[in-house]
Amino acid sequence: MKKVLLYSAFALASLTMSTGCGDDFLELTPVSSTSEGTLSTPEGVDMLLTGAYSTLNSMLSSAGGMGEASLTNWVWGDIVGGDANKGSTASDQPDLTQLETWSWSSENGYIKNRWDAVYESVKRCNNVISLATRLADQLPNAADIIAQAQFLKGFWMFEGIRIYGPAIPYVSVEDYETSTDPQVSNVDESGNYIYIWDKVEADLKAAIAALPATRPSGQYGRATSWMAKAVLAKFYLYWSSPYDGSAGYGANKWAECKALLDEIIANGVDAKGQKYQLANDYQSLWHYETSDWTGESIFDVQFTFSGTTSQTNSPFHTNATEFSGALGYGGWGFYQPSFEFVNSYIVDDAGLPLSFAEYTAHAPLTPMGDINTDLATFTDPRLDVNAGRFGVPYLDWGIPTNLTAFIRDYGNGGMYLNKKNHSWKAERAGASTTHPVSTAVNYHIIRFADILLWRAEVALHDGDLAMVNELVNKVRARAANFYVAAEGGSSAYVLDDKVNGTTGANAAANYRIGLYPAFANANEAREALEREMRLEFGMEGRRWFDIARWGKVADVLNAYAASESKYLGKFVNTYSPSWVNFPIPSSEINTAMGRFVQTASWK
Amino acid sequence: MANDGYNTLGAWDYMKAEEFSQWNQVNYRGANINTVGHDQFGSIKDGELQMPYTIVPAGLSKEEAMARWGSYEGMVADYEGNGAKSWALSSYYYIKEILGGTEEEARAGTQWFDMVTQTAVSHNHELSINGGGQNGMYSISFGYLDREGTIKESGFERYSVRANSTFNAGKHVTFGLNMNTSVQKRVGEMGGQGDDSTFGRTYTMNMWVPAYNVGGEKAGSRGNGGRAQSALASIENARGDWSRNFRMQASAFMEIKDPWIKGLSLKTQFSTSLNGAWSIGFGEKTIAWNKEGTSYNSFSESGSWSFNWQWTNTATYKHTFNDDHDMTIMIGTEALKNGIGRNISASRNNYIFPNDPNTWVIDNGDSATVGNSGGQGGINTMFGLFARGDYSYKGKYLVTATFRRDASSRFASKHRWGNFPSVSLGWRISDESFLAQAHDNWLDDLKIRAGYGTTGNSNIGNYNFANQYSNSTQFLYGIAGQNSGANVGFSSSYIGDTEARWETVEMFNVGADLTAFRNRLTAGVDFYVKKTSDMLVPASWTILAGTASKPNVNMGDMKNTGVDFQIGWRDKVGQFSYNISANASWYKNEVVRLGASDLYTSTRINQMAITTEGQPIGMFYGYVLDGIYTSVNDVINYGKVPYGVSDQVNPKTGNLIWHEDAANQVGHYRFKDLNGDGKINASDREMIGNPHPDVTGGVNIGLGWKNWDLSTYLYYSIGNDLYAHYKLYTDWGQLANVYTYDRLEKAWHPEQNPNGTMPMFVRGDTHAETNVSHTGYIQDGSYLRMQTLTIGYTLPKKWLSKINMSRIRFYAQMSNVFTITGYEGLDPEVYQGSDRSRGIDYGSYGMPRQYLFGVNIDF
Repeated sequence: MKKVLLYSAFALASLTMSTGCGDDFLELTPVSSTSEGTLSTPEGVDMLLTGAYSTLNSMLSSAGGMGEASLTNWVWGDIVGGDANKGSTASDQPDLTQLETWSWSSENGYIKNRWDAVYESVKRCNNVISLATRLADQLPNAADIIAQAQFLKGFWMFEGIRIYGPAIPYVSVEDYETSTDPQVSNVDESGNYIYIWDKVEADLKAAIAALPATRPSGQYGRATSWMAKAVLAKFYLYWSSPYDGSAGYGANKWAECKALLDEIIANGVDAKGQKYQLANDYQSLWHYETSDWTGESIFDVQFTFSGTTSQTNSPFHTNATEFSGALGYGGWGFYQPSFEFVNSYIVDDAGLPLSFAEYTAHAPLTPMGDINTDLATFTDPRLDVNAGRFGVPYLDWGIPTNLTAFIRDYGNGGMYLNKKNHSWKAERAGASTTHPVSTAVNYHIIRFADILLWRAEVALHDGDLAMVNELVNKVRARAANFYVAAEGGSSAYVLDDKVNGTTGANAAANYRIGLYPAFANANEAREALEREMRLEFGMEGRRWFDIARWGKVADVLNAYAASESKYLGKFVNTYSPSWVNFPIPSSEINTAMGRFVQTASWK
Repeated sequence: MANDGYNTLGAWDYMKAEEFSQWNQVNYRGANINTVGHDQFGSIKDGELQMPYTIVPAGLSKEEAMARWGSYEGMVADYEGNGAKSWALSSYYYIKEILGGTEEEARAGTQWFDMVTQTAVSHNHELSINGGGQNGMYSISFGYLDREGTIKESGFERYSVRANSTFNAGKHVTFGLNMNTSVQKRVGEMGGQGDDSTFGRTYTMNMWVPAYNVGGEKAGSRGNGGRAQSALASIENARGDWSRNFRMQASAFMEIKDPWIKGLSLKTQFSTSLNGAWSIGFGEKTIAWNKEGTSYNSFSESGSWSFNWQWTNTATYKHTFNDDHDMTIMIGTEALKNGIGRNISASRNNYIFPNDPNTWVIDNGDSATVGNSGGQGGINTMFGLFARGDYSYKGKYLVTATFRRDASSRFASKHRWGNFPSVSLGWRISDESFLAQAHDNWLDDLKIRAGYGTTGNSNIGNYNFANQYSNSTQFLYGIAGQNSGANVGFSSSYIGDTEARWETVEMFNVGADLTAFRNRLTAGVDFYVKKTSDMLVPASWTILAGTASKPNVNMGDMKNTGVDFQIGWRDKVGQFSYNISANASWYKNEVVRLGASDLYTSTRINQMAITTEGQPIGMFYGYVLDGIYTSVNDVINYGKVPYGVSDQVNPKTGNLIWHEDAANQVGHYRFKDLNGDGKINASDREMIGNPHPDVTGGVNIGLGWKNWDLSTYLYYSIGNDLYAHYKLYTDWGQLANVYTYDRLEKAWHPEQNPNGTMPMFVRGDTHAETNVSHTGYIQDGSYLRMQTLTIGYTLPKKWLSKINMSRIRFYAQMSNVFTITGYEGLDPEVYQGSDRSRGIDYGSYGMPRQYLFGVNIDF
């Protein structure tokens, strides 16, 4: 009997213990991560907003390891647009080769990764807007937080338009809240494209209304109403641009654009309250000691050193654009300025750029396979800030001399080096990072020179050629204020400054720059303005976007290919005039099961 | 089949191919050879190929190099190991002048495959001791395994102890303990796959790259030879690295028999599993040979532990009524918790004595370069209730019914529980009176079975239900506009799905087993239908959902219908005994319903497999090749806008752009326009291969004569396609580094090979075929392989009795004896990944042939 009791007790104990652990036992919370509930505090919402800001500098892990997601747009603006060749070896990164040689399809991985970056960013913004709206009562600054997120969202949707055209899905906060995979379409019930210009405009306008004009110390990196106005002005410029005249592009927003630009020029200030102006010295915009708060920065990606974290301090996100070995770091050698781009800086006796026919007929300044650069031919002094050349000091790293250490395969990438966004040796010395392209120099998404030349574009549209002349010359005059000096302090080369009528001695090469006389007609003004935008913003990720919205992308690029193929055999394809945007990734069209319809140019 | 790697172009032949490629470019691409030429590949002068003296710096001829350094010694003296000056001779000169090799050897170049593979030796010892009596039983076994890898510097070593014991505490109570402990050590790379494995580097790095450069460093991508580092560098770098695992599984149980009534038994069992892992790795400074290499060495060390437990309680009641009715009833509970554990790792750089493994500890590195990381394992728990009843009438009619009710922490509470019933019926027809005559004469046993059952699958992420946020470094931003230090940000890192529920597999089967002719003939057949409902697969959402990790969601149903058949015969004639058996399986897989868009599998090749409704899972997908464009007219007459080319009119000329660009397509593949819209694009892909076999099976044959025995096992698979993914390197050349002779010889050429089936040979070409999926990758993967052949000899009993042994048998075994296949890759038996990535041959060095000699001794 005693044993029976014992057994019963054992059985009962087993049964209760094993069934009693029911729901508590099965209710687990994730380890090493945070829930939305934890973040539903003022601090939490602010950190989610920082996560939304981080899309500006860091799309590294989530979308595109090669920098195709990066806002520097070196892949899209510069390589597709002919400012630069892909670099590295012919077969490296075939997706990028497709972009470089205009043979991409909707399956291209880079096109997908950039798409991912756009919508991941929009999702983060919607997340902030949704949560801040819900917690508005607890937040001291809900309106400001929502406005910042709206600014970023409007900016990213605009980036989406710039690359994929205006007929792309727009994800509203309601869409975000209704479904994890927002059931948005880019066509209406009748299958017509939905153009999202007005929705993005509404986001940016809402941001302008609620954002402050300046920020207090410790908050300088945040959006201001002036930043949002500059993005909206650029947005109106794109909206008004001809592209190829197909539906969905083109609306007359010139007046709105002009009003904003005039306001920015007259009254605009940066987050610190400093009035917008051109930096005195072109180089200072990319010099590690001076770059960030010159007054020229309107919308910057705030790069910062943070330990060994490359996500915050690498405008190109990877080793992709670093040279292979030359500077002691193993880069992959992508992104090399093209022959055509470098030659376009050659100037005439007045210090004005040569025509396309003239400069492409000129021998390349650095011959194929020969590091003996022609330093005697006079060029615009901005050339040696924008492109690295053998024989010219490379920032503070010394003069490049070893061909193979700087260039992986010149037969594929040509003879020039990317330089403008490269880090300085002195900056790296003080930084506790081993990442090759680390720098705290901001990338300027919009700078004051953009505003001036956009205003010139508006003036050209209005037929005000004197104003075009004045604004173009204003930018050119600043370019005369800097030239790269020869290493060791003495050389026979000079800066022939026709702007100020002076001569600068001991230059690294011969430079010359002068101002345009009054334009005889609109074509002359247009030619000068378009050339100036390329010279001023070379290697800043702008080129393809400009020629696409001007409706001349095929003309420009096919002429470019004819020239560049004299040195590099790969430019055999013809660029189609209808390619004013990139296709929506085919995998997304497939996944969306009919909700996404391919854009008109890529059907 | 000899595993000697792919038949890639030797060094000299590669140079010639390169010349040929350049000639093609000049004559058929209109390129200017002076601007696209790669001087380091050599050139042909006066009909003779001139080998360049050095690879780096590019473009120097032997004469120029001599002029620069004056002598070979001068070049060596100029060498800097930091990568600033690192000169490599081509393998031709390296082998000829440094190693003193013959002209033939020099022309062949560096034999990477031979350099990194070896004939490996392994041995395995086991010792078991069993014993016991009235009060309990014990068994202990010790094992030792030492296996060298066929890739040099790789190997596996294992010590294991297994101990089982039971102890009877009185008449009713039994305690038991089982324990299984092993310590394992792994070194080097074993079974690596893909282009970046050691084997991969043997066919993705050119043979004209020398093994070493003039400084004695290993050569690599500084020679523009393809891979960043050579296969030789990777095995030498792995030397001294190891990882060790400790694994202990232990369980204790108590069983009480007949506590209240006879036939009842209560059992409780608690099992634990404790695992530990520790590894070290030393990375050499690679800048001297790798253009993308590091200028410092580095060392990392990491450790982790994990712990799981499981507790099972059962009550079983067995009873027999009236002698004819046998009944067993069992009820039980089960609880388990998995994934308790943590991990940590640390690293430092700049070790002063990189060649002395004794100095490889974290403390000896440069403290300014410290790196560390650590984490916690994900936990899951499960709880189950189950019941089972067996009934049999005279052993003739058999019924088994089970019911399980399981709950998993991986589902949100509303979908946590799943119910899984099953029932099976059996009828031993041979015991029926109407077969009595047959039963007496020839029919030993005939049984018919039928069953229906369900099981559940919860094989998803531990926190599949939870929305999660993280503050990883990618969410930092300089909110203050500062130049150093960044502000912490958070963002969604995992999207939870609270609707996910158990995936259920329903299985219906009928079958029969037969034994006849005094147990000489055995046969069995099974027919089954297996339906998987609510499959748990990663959510297929557009990127509008964000890039955060996606949960598994219930999506779609899949059906497998199959037949398994096996037959065997065994007999003995005098001193001679033999047995032979064969089996075959057919199955048909179909995705019945897919609650989302088609699912694709992407490797380095985008969307190379598809899962779509009404088709088997994981079908190969891509473009269909339709020959080669042989002329500009051919491109235009074919009438389809080629892949990646505009269908627009050039406004300047008024001509179609793709007509103007037609020359650029000559010598390249034509893709079929499957949807007939006149242009080749992503809509022109279809299912191009089926990884599922029509039939698989095996044959066992055993022969015995006196004390000798001979046995073999053959395996076959018929009708499955393989995706020869390695051809991305050897034939279409995404990395454009190494080609096979096949690729060169089959290359189309307007004059020399107008009937060629491969694209024109132009190195570094980037046409569509270089990176899209197409029918060129698909091959029939059917094969028959003799897996093992064993011969054994058992010493006669009369000898053994003298030395008190019960049995001694010597044997020799060969595995992977031969393979009959039409497949071109090294091994048709490819590693099978998940359901959606079956049958992909990434290129592995294949199954080695093994010779095994052993002895079994029983005391």
